[in-house]
Amino acid sequence: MKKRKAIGEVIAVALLLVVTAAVMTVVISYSNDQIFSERQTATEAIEKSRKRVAELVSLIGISTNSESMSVELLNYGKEIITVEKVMVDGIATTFSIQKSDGTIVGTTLPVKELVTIQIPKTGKTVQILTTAGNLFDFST
Amino acid sequence: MLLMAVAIAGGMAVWQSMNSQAQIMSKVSKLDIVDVSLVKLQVGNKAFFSVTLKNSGTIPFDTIEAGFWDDSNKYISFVKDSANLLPGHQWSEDDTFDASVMANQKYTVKISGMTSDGSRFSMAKIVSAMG
Repeated sequence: MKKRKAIGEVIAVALLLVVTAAVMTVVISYSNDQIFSERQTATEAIEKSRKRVAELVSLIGISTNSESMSVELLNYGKEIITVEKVMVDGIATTFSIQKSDGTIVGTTLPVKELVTIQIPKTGKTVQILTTAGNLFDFST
Repeated sequence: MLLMAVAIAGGMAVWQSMNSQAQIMSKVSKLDIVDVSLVKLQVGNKAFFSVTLKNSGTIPFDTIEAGFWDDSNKYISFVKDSANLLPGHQWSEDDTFDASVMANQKYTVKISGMTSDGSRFSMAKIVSAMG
């Protein structure tokens, strides 16, 4: 009788341990997922913000004729800037970027080089949106 | 034997309950704002609004909306239906709008979404307009 009781107690303790371990596993896993996810999002937000701050552009000049504009810019930051969109008075337009020697550079602004953005449209303002999310707004 | 049977049955019941609890707890509908910006353009009454959201939950989002109220209380928003934004994935949108916005003023940006199982998530953030 005593032996049977002892076995029952051992099983009860084992079950309690299993239940406690299961509860702890669920809680720890849930907390870990939440903490990791929030940390990752914060890191991405900080990285985006860092890239944005690192983008430094100076407007050298804008020349306009009847049907097009040329925006001369200098990227005086340390990183290449990629242009996502060019807008004239808030409306997206086509564009091409070229160095002072005429070389087409796609959609990037090389570091410490004068480039000209050719826009086949005219308006009062030009907005340049970069992939880092910076919006440079220039008045013509 | 009877005690053992009761204990095992109880253990199984607790295990099943824990499993279902774990499944409920692991269903999280959550969107995080990775980036949001509001810029007053120099031309007319125009504003540039951009937002990047991340599904940091565990269920795909079917519908996503991000918007703000301008000075005339007009609600301007991006709405993405059939987004199927999977957990861990990001969604970005940017555009210019006819909106009355002043630089350095604060505006409320509302983010909301609906998951594939019908859960709703919404949040708001105060953003300072640049320009």
